[in-house]
Amino acid sequence: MKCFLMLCACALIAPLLADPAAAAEALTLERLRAAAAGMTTLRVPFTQEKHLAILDEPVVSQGVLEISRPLQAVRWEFTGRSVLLFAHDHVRRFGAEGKEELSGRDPGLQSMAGQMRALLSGDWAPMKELFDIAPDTDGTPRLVLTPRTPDLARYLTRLEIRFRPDLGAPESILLVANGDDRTEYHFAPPQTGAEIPTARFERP
Amino acid sequence: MDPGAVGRPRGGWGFWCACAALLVLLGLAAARARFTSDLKAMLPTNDAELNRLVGFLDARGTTRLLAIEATTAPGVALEAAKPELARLVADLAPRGATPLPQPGAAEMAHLVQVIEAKLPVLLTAEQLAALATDSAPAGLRAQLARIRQKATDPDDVFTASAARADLLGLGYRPLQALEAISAGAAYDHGLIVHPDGRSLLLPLQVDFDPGESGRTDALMTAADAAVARAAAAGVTLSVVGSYRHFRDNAVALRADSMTTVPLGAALIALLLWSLARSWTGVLAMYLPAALSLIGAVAVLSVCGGMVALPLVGFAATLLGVAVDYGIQMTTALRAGDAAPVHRPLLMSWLVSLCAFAGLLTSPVPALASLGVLVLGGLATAYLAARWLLPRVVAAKPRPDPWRRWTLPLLAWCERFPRRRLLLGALITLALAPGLGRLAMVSDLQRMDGSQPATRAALSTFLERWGSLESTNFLVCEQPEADAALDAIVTARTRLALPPSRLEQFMPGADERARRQAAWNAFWTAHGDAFRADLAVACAELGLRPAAFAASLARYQPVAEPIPLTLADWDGTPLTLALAGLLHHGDGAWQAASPVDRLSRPETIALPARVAELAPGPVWVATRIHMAERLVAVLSSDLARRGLLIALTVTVAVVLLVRRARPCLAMLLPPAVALAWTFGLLGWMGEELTPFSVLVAAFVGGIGIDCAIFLAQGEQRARLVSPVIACIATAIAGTSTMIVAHHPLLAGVGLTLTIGMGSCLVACLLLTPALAGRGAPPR
Repeated sequence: MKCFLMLCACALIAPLLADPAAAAEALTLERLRAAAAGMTTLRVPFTQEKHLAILDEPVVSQGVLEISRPLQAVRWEFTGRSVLLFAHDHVRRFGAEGKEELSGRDPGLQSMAGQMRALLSGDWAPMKELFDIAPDTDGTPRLVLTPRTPDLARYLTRLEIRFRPDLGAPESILLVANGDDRTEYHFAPPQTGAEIPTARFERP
Repeated sequence: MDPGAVGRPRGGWGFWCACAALLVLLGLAAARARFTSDLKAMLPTNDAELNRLVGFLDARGTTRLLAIEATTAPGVALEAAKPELARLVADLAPRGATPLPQPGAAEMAHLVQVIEAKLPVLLTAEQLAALATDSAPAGLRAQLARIRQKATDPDDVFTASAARADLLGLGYRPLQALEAISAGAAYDHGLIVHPDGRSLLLPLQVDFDPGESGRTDALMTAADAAVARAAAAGVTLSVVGSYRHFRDNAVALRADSMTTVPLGAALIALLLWSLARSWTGVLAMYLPAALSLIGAVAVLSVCGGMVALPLVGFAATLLGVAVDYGIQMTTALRAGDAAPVHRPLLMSWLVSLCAFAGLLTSPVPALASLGVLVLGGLATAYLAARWLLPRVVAAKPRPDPWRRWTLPLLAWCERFPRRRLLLGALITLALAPGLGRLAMVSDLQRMDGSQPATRAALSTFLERWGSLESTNFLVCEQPEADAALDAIVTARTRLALPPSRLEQFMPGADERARRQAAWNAFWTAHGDAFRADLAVACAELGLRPAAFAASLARYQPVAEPIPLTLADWDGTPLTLALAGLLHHGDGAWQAASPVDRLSRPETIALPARVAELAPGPVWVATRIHMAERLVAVLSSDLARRGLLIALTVTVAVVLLVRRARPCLAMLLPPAVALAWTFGLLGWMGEELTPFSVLVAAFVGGIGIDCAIFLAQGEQRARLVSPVIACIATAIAGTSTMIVAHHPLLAGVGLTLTIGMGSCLVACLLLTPALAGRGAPPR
């Protein structure tokens, strides 16, 4: 079910280049897609916290997300753990030792290529097939995604994406799984337009 | 060319107008014929078992699969094969081959949901037995440790949530029945990765039957191009499936035809020219046979039958008998006196008609159609030889060019008749024991003309992957679905076969009750201990036992019976798969359970094992048995037809001749020739096919024709050269087939050549000796 990471990422990058002056306006998917159109590269560190009912303590991990629109490539790295690469229209997963793992064993990864394409194009249509997407009604810069099918709802309760006040970048993502297991992403300020070597998208 | 050989038309305008009208009518009727390359409609309908097998396996459509296996050269990553496979998919899609549909995430999620809801009736006895180990303290601790490790993986999202509701992962156990082909194989973007990680498999579904030769050719040509392209990139693609075998056979037959037919035709033409010394004379000799083909198709068309193209080929072979008419009449006409030929020609024709009429009553549509074809052809050939040839062949008396050696040969045969008969008897004594060594072909692959590379690819594939598709089934029909399903489960249990996906996901009522009772007994016995063990293991691993409350609630006895129907699987990836294995039709439910990963000997032995260990309503359907049954039914019917034909021919000859010695002179040589032919084949270790048995009719037909002509005592010297020419041309035509690469064609060529040779020797040796030099028979 790693495709949900990509859904998060879709939400992440779109507003990065949005006009700060537009923050006061209502948040719409059209605005997010238009904003994503100007992006070339993105690099953003993050912290993940998993609050799981089966564990007493949260599990904390660090990572970096890198996106290159010219290369049509994405790198999602959990530092010291695993790396997901999307390049040449294929998703590959590498373990902590840099060894490629068989992506075919995970049905979630198989459908991830489509999500990656959405991530790069800023086209939210595939996500709307799976989720109802709604901006927060009280004016908070936040999107709430809820599964559209009961089958999906069995795994995922909701997904919340909160943007920085200026809409220049996301601030956090909250993924609430069935049974109230929560995964939170806290994003640092992003670097945009920086040069990212091609090799970053080929191997860990 | 010898313009004098064929004179100007000597019939009146009325005759030629009638001929033209008849030809036009025949042509029109032949043009209206409905040709088909589908032999299914030609299969026997009188054998219930064969009908059941053909109907069942045809409905499965299991031949419409093509598998592409990709491996890479040492040092080349398997990943390099993926772009080549992608290009191949793009190339083959317009030609009707597309990847099998992959289940979507929603379908898979729904599948898991159904499995969880029906879990107590989906776990087999073996899976529940494994649960005893997994739920014991050591197994439980190992499972919780795995859950902990995976749940703390940062890119894992749902393991913890899923484990809380099913910490032992029981919901995934039934899914093992869906594992791709080999145990441990995995799906990867529509590809199947072999557990050894060294090869990829791309299964393709094809939207047409492999028998559609044109489309199969185009598909395989495109596949060949992709294979060559991939080889340049260090990727080996291997194409496996019936389409490759069909193409190989078609190519082999075409190539063999291209080499044997021109060679045979040239030899025949030279032989006949040496007799007629005129090319138009040669053409005249073949005119009745050529017209007979048109007549054959026209008559079958008028009778309303479909004309199966392979049957036309056989009919053409059998109508080779009609060449005899043309050779005899043309030779006689050119000699200036055809009258002595009329009577033996009529006798020969009537006997042939009686013989092939025996096929008309066959319950095998293919044989009945063949009978119609041959009768129509023989009638046309006789009419053409008797009334058309005299109008087109001019008399040009000249000495028979073959007399210098045929007359001494005949004289030798007529001298010392007892010695000749003794020689015939000695040959028969030597060859006849070979008949006891004859057997029908036991391995149908010997009739397969596939290339060695194709067979090697299939063999390697089966070794590596086990099977391409299910071609072996346990089948049961019952008024109620549950009864059919339970009968299958019972048979499987007695045969010690693992459950297929049908039994895994669609147990019958009895099996559901058994599984649920076992589930309840298990958790009644182990529930308390499991809860205590869970608390201990969680404490050791730093997990919260309370988080697994949903699992504990699920792992409980269930009092109410859990219903399960096909409809429960709607919207899951199993919908189509299960509907193909369990369906209602003809007033009953039919359950078909695949039996995979059997060796060929195991497959062959399966029906006997079912009959012995699981007698009852369950029967076995395999392609091997269908082919064997087809051969058995055809052979049995051909044997019956053979007896009928022998009897009919004997009665016809006796009625026509009404004298013992000439009758014997006409009947014995072809019978002896057949004994020699198949006796020799027996000594050579050749196996009979339905085709070689059919060829016996040709040998018998030519044999009796020649014997009838050679039985004409006073005319024998005039007739011997055409008789020898007739057999010699047949030998020339058929002997070239011996070098064919296609085993079926080579086998038929060998049988025919031996048969024709036997005919010649038997007729020359026995007929004059038996008939004597007296007046021709009445």
